[in-house]
Order: sequence, then structure tokens, then C-alpha cells
Amino acid sequence: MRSFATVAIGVALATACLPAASGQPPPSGTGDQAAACMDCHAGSEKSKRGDIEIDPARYGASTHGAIGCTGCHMEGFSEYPHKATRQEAPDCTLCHGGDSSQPYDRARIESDVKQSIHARLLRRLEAGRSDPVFKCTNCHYPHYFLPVRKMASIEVAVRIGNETCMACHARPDELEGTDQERKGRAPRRQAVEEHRSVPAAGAVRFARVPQEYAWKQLASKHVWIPMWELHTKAARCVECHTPGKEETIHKILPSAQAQKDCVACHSRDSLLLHKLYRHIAKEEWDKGGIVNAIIFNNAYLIGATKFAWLDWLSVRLFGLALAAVFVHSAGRVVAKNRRR
Amino acid sequence: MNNQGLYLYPLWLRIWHWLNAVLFVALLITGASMHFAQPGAPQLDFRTARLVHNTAGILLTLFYLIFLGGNVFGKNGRFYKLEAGDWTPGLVRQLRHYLLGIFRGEPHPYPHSAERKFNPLQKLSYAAVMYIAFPALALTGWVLFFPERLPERINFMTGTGIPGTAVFALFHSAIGYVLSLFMALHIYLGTTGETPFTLFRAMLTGYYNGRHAAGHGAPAAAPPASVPSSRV
Repeated sequence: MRSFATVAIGVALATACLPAASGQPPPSGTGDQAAACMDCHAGSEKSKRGDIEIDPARYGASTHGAIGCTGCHMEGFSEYPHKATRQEAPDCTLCHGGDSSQPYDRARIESDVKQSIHARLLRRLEAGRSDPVFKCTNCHYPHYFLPVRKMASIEVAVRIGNETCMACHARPDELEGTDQERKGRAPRRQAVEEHRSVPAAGAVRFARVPQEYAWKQLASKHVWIPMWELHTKAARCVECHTPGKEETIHKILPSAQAQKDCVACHSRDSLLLHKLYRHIAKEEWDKGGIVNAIIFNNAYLIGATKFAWLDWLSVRLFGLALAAVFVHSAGRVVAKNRRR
Repeated sequence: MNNQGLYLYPLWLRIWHWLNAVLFVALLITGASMHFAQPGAPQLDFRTARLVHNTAGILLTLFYLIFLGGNVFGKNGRFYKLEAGDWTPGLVRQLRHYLLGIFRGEPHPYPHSAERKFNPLQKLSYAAVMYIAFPALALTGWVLFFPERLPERINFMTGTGIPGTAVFALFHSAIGYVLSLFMALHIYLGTTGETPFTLFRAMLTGYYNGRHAAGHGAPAAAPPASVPSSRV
């Protein structure tokens, strides 16, 4: 895939030339320099210029806030009009190199992405292009990005995670028109094109999708899941659309291979522990006599969350009752035989 | 009482009873199947279990309402009315029979009659089950049908509280365990008739023809409280 060739070259260049990729701190543009950028770029994501405006507060709170604008927008952005375009900014490999000591194991993520359905579909779209169609920023909006462990709550993590998927997978244009028109429209290609021009995912892009259409379309695909809407508030799409208990959210499976066994989540060793909750230490899993207390804190999940003491007591009482029944019935038989 | 025995259980009651039994067993199996779900374990498919559990729960509630209507507007309710003496000496005497008298071959202290189908232990336990435990089980079950309408968290004293669904699920499971225990003992005590099958046969045919029926070699009414049943 061309994108990964580009990524590999980027990694090599970054390793050779840039301090960030060689283990030193990334270039910083915080303070006055960031404030200067914000003179023009501060704004609301809902404004007409939303694609170039960012919310300074959310940016500051994001995991990239400390790096500063020029940490990524390095060459050609310091003067106005900018000499460089957004597409010319270095990609995520600048910092997230192929080294497991980095904040993310880029090599593993890249391997997972290569095996995902996204990569297989987009490979076809990349023919004849010099720049990669598929980039990290297609899904991860770098200005507001926070890893799950730093988000305010699991609920927020689930919402943002699902909005990211819905930005492409619940588009109203896929619903409108006749079947023939829809086929000719190639909505996924449109989505990709839009990604290229507006590398913003998550809440920003979701706000542009009429929610009622999004829900209708997604609901029709997940009609076999009882209380589907409730599921979308307790788990991310990637819990079921990535392989089993593998700790990956990047190896997106074709829908036919998605998890359809309810017990995968609704059991003591729930796969949610290995995905959504994997950043929480195992010591926190069971607390206060509650099995999978970390899940229980957010939602009751039959099969996965249970009151251990209630099960313990009830099963033993039931066993005791059966033992009593056995002894009593044996006593009746013996007594009856003696009376004869 | 005729040649077939004492007619205790009319057709509607027998149908209700056996449907209840089937539905409750289905609820028990499917509930346990979901609660103890494990990948690869020999248990019901999760979605099937859920569907059967929900359907059985709805039907059982419907049958309960019929039962309740029959008890309020019909004559069946009188068998569940608690009376003075049901606890003492009634319950004590009945328990003594199960713990001692039954091994000595003593007659039942409270034989069946058209006016008294239940002994004090039956009356107390059935009343508790049908008027307290089952409504609570059904209510918590129905609430869990609509988890999206429950409060996200319910606070108890301190802390951030626990999920609303968990509170109802806790009570639903606990009551389910209690009723499962009741069912197991109910089935066993069903074998304590003249033969292990006498009472089951009665619930199938409607006629009780054991010797413990009033007017069948046993007293027609409950013995006076002061007289031990074993001497009657």
C-alpha cells in the first residue's frame, strides 16, 4: 500500500533528521507562538470556517496541547500567508515512530491497520496517487486527541469513539435517492475525499451528520442486537468490529467477521476488559464483592458484572437444600421400611 | 368427595399451575444461562435465552394477573387468607410433622378438605410467594425491560452511586434465587403424600384420593389447637 510506503519513508526521514524521532523531545511551539496562531485559528468547530478553526480550550486539554502548533506545523506556517498547506505538514510518524518505547507502538498499529478492512478497501483508491489516502488523522483528530485513559470517563470515550466511526459510516447521502443512484454515488469514495480535505474526525465531523439519519442507518445494520442504542452508549463500535480479545482497535474486520457472539462481552472474562477497559489495572477489576467492578461502575452488564457474594450465598443455600432433601427422603425410605 | 377422591383442583387452576411451572423452569434455566454465560460452555445461546426469558416473563405476569383476578373476584383467594393459629401452633405443628412425624408414619396434621387445601406451611409460603416475592420479581423484571428509562446512577448514602439497572438486577437475581429455592422444596414436599406420586396425580387429575383427605380415614377439620395432631 502506497500510504505505508510513504509512512515508512517519513519514519526514515524523521529518524534521520528530526529530534523528536531520535528520542529527544518534539519541537515545541507552546506559549507565545501558539497564542499567535490562535489569533487567527481560535474559534468554534461549528463556525463556517470550522475546518481551520479549533477550540483553544479543547486543544490545550488534549494530549497534543503541550506540543504546540509548530510541533507539527513546522515548515512554512510561521508567516502569513502560509507557504505550506496542511497536506504538507508532517504526519504522525514524526513523533509516533516505529518504536514500542514511543507513546504508541506505531509498528504494531501499522501492522494492524494493514490487516484491517479499511486498508484493503482504500488500497484500491490509492492507485495513481502520490499521497496516502489513509492517514491516522482520518479517524484521530489530532487537535483534540486524548487517549482513553486520559478521558474524563468511559462514557466520553465511548461517545467519541463511536462518533469517529459514524463520521463515515452513517452518512445521510447514502440514504437519499434511488438504489441505482446510491450505487453510482460511491459514497465511500466521497467520504475518503472529504477526509483528505478536512482531516477532522470525531465530534467535529459528527456534528455535520444529521443524527436521525445516522441512527436509522446504523440501527438497520444492527437490528439483531437487542437494545442497540443502549449498547452504543456502553461500548464502542471497535469492541465488536476488531478481533476477539486482541488488544487492538485498529484491525477493523469486515462486517461479516465482526463479533456476533453476545457471550464475548456478556461473560466474566468479557472482551471489554481487553479493549475499552484495558488501561485500567487488573487490581481494579474486582472490588467490593463485585465481579468486573470496573465495568459495573459504568453499566450493569448481565453475565459480566455480578454480585459475587449473592451468587456464593445462593448457590450454597441451594446446595444445602438439595442435600437436606436427599437426607430427608432417605430417612423416609428407611423409616418406612422399618415400619413394615 | 366421590369415588375418584376429593375434587380439590379445578381445571383452570391445574392449567395455570402447570403453565406456571413450565414458565418458571424456563425462566430459571434461561436466567442462569445468561447470568453464568461463558464462551464455549454447554448452555443456551445467549440471544435465545434472552428471548425465551423475556417471553416467559411476560406470559408469567399475564398468568399472575389472571390468578390475582381469580383470587380477588373468585373463591380461590380464601385458601390464602391467613388466620389466627397459622403461625402457632399451625406452622410449628406442620414443621414438626415434616421433621419427626413423617418418619413415624403419623397422619398429616392438616388433612386436605374442600375448605382447606393448604396446611399452614403451604398457606404461609404460598401467600409470601404469590403476594410478595413473585410481584417483586415481576416488577423488577419489567423495570429491566426499560433500562434506558432507569436513573443512570442511584446513590446509597455515600459515593457516586451504582448504575440504576444494577440495583434492580440485584433484587431480581436475589428474588429469583429465593423462588428457585422455594420451587425445589415445593417439588420435594409434593412427594410427601401417601405415595410420592399422590399429590402430583392430584394436580394432574384434580382429585386427591390419598388417605390424608378429610373424610377418608382422616379428620374432616383441623384438630383443635390444643390437641397434637398425631393423637387425632
